[in-house]
Amino acid sequence: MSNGPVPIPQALLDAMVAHAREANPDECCGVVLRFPDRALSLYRTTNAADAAQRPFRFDIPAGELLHLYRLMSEREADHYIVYHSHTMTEARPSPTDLRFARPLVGADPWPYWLLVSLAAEPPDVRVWRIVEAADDDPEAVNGVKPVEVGYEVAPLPPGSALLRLESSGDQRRPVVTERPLGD
Amino acid sequence: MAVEVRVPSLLWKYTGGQKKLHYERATVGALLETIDADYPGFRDQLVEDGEMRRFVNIFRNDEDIRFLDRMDTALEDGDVLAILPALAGGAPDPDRRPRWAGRA
Repeated sequence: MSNGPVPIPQALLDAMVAHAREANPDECCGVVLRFPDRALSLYRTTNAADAAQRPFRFDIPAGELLHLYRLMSEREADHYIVYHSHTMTEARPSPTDLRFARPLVGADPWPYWLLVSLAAEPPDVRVWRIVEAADDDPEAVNGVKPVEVGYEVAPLPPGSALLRLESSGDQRRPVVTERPLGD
Repeated sequence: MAVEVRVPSLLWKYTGGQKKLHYERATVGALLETIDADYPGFRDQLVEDGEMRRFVNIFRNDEDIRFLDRMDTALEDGDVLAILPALAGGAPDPDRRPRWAGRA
């Protein structure tokens, strides 16, 4: 993973901002996978946090995670980006984000964190890596901290897709369906 | 036939890069202890005070063990155990936000 700006197609940026606006006042969340042929797929995911918490929490449901990790393993996709929105605060990983991200640090591939803030108009989009940090680092939360890497608008690779995941059935054995955005 | 454990990338550093492990059938809790004896530190990433960590999901085949018998979930020959890190987070808690950022 490089420390330079992350190439992101405008269509994906637009889809993430549109998702943030639609979900408002709740937070939205989703994932971008990158396939070996460089195609990118954006997956809107369900925010499974408790309804009262969704304005300031996101939690991708376990069944949708299983679906995504299976794609990663079967189609050798990289976990490129995890995105979510902050409805009233800046587009920077919060202490909550860092606490939840801590167990993931060191994973390879390790996704970039993209945040959409609706506290600004137009919404602010910022991209970060979350890295291990020394305990005496003032930015450290639970041994990690965010480092901004930024992004640059890139062409949309052929074969890219904008999708949403939908969960049905019971929580114990959810059925996850992929649908094109706009359906 | 044995139980296949699919190791997420964040735990490869504990398993010497192995992505799949195979063990005799047991409960999830007992299996994780056996794995930890071979790969010290593995279990602590997933379990705290005998329960699954909040930020971890474990599936037996396609079923979340939180909806089965959690750590006591029995595994049979041929079962696949998938370990997935949660993806979650969110804004600062409302009571930690500046007053001006409170919800209307």
